[in-house]
Amino acid sequence: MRCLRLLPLLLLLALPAAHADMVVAVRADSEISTLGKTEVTNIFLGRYRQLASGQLAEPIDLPTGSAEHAAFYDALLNKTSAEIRAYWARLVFTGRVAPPRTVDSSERLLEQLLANPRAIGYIERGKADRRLRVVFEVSSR
Amino acid sequence: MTQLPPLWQRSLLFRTVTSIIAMTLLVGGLLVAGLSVLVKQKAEADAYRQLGELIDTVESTVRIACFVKDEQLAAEVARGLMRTREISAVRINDEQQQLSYQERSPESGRKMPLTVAPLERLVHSPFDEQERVGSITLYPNKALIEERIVTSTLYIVSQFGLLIAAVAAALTLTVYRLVMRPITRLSHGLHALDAESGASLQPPRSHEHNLLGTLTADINALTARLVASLHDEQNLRRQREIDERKYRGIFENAESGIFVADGRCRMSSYNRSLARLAGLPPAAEQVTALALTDLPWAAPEHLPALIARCLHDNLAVGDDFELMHPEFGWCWLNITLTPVGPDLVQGIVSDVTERRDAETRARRLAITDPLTGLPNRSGFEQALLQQLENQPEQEFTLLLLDLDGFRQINDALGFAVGDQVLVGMAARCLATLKPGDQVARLGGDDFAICLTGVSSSISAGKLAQRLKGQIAEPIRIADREHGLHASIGIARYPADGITLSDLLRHAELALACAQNDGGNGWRLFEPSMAKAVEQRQQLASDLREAAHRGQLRVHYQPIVDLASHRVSSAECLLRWQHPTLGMIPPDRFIPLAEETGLIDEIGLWCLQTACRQLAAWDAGGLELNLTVNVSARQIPGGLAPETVLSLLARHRLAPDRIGLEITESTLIGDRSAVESWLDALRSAGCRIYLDDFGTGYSSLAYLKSLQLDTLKIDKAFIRDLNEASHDRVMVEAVTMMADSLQLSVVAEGIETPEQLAVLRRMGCRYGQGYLFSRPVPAEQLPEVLARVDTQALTTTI
Repeated sequence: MRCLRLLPLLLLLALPAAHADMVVAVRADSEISTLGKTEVTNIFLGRYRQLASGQLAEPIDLPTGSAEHAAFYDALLNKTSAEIRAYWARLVFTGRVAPPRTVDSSERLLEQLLANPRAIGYIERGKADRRLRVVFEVSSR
Repeated sequence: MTQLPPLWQRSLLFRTVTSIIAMTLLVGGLLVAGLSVLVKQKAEADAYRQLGELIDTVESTVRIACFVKDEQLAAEVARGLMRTREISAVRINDEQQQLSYQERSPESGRKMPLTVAPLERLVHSPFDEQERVGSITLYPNKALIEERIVTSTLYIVSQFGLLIAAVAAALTLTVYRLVMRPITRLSHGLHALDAESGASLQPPRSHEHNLLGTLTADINALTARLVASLHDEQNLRRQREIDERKYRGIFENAESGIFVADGRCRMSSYNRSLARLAGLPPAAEQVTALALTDLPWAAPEHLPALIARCLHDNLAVGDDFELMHPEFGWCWLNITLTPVGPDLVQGIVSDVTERRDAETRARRLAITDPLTGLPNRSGFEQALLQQLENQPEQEFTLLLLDLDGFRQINDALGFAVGDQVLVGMAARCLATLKPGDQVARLGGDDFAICLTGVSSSISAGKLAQRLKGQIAEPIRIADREHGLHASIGIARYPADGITLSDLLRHAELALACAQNDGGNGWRLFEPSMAKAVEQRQQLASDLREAAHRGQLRVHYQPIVDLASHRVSSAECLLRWQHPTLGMIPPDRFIPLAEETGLIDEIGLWCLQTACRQLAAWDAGGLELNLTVNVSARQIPGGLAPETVLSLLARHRLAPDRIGLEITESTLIGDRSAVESWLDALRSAGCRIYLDDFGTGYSSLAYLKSLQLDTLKIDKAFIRDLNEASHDRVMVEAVTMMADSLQLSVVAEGIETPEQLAVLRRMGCRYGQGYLFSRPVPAEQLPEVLARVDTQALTTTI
């Protein structure tokens, strides 16, 4: 009986973990200070890698099956991971534009961000520490 | 005719079908034209729809290509699109530049006037519908659209063509089967039809109840009517031929002359009788039309007038015309015209010469006295009227001559002698006259003579005198000589009257005066004669009034028994108190009453008064009888015996109380009537007196045969009684004779005692006269009776 009473609480705790707020972050010392939603979209979906201010940005993606990937694209574009994958599929087969480099996990992403000042990636808000600068908060609507 | 029907029939069929096809083609053409526009629009719309669909197919890819400005991807998409034939070129642009353009090499040649605009669609970002990232433009393949339009149109046209062909074929077949073939059969049937034998047309099979059936029935009805009309016409013609022959026969053999002429009198035909009547050549020999007016008529100008009247009034008119016949001389033809056409008359001519002659004779006879050959009254009057009209200024003298005593000759010697006397006198009159004078016998013994140019009274008198002398010459008839005299009345024109009736009346007045003067004389008319007549007429009308207004009175004169000197009876005498002329004596008004017929009324009134008076006296104890004068005119009808007797009976008077005084002139009339009148009254008991005896015929034979009671000797005989005269002898003789005939005698007009003495001596029974009394009114009579009785005493004493 006690277990049953705890279930709603458990569920309440589990949800924020699944839809944890995603933020776009760069290394704290990066020249990129802040970005708009359009800029984030254009950078991550291959439209351009150079910002208007002339800084280059290298987007780093997470695997399509990961929770972060799904949460990020859902929050940003309201698209599922499959749709994003289909999008890239057309470009990959015929176009000249290539999708962002993909790393295995958010830990790896963190490493890449810390390692490359032009790298730009998305992580859970909780995982962004002071080494990183949040340039865009992906609102979950 | 036999060749025509197939051609006509084919032609009709052909025309029907052609017109149907033409109509269908026209309608079809319009439809096709309309449809081709629709087809074109649809083809274009289809093309655009397909282009739209193609764009839809590739839109997501194009979005990506534009989003990332990927030329390769754009080119890939364009190539893919170009595989579709509908597209001739593809252009994909991003916001700044062209990403890809591909086009098909133009196909050979044909350019359609199609205005095919390219289809451009804006391309949005795959992630943001609001963000434009480029555009895609598709250019339709004009050649393909054109090709599709042509194909579709051809399809429609071929469909219509087939439909028209099928409809035309079906129509042709239908028209032929339902219209042409039955009509052809009808036509053949009509040609073979023998309508006169009563055959009728059969309607084509299975068309009995439709329009063709009706048409057949109509044709049969029409045929029947035509056949009937034909029969009628034939009958009519036959009848006309018969009539023509009949009338031709009548025309040719008629007794009357018949002709037909126009308004200008030209005869178009005439028959044998007319040729005979008018002395024309037979109609067959007459080449040129003969004009009626060319015949030798006495008055040809009347003929056109008669024809014109006939034509104008449209009425049968007729008249007699005198014609100079070449053989028979002048003859009269009656022509009766009847209008027979607008400018045509038929004339019937008959010979009326005999009738005209007879009429002329009758006319002459009507104005001629057959005995003497002189004109009669109407002939004389006609001649004088004509003279008065034609020569009003011509003076003349009119003489009326009447033979005195001719009636006696006629009565005594018979009409034959009388006629001879008249003929002789006529000859004498004629002999006396100059040429230009006229003599006529007006009737009986009246002759009229008109002396032209004689106007003075002297010459007229001389002529009258000479005429009188001629008449007075003894005339010898049947070996006996007769002496006659004439009375002549003369009236002159214009002195004595300007109208014929005035002249005749005035001459008659003068004649009457001459006769009144005793005859054998002549009188000129004088205005006083007319005045006298007028006065007489005035008096006559006054008398008529008098009888009604009680101006007449009865006075009574006693009749005295001379022996006893007592009054035995009294005579009723009429008196007339005229309002202006005073007392008028009976000898003036009684003849007037007799002439005017008033005497009947007056006589009856007198008798009534007498009866009433008698009854009154009877009641008063005065015993007296009365006598009443009865004029000859009253016998027998004016005072019928039954009237007298009923009057007496009404007053309860015995018939012998009334004596009726008649005169000798009564006896001259119808003897038997008078005798029965006398018999009736006398046998009833009335007494009959013969008045004024001695002045007339005084025939003893009368006295013997008539039933009389009393004679009244006229006062003319009594007047000279005292002298030794014939009268005295006569009265004596009469008294004696009466005595022997058992008649009483009354002596009238006794005025002196001497006369009375003589009469007494003679044995005369009764007397009447002033010696005894004048006639007095009824109320004075008792006094008179008393006086007479007293006289008797004195005389006796």
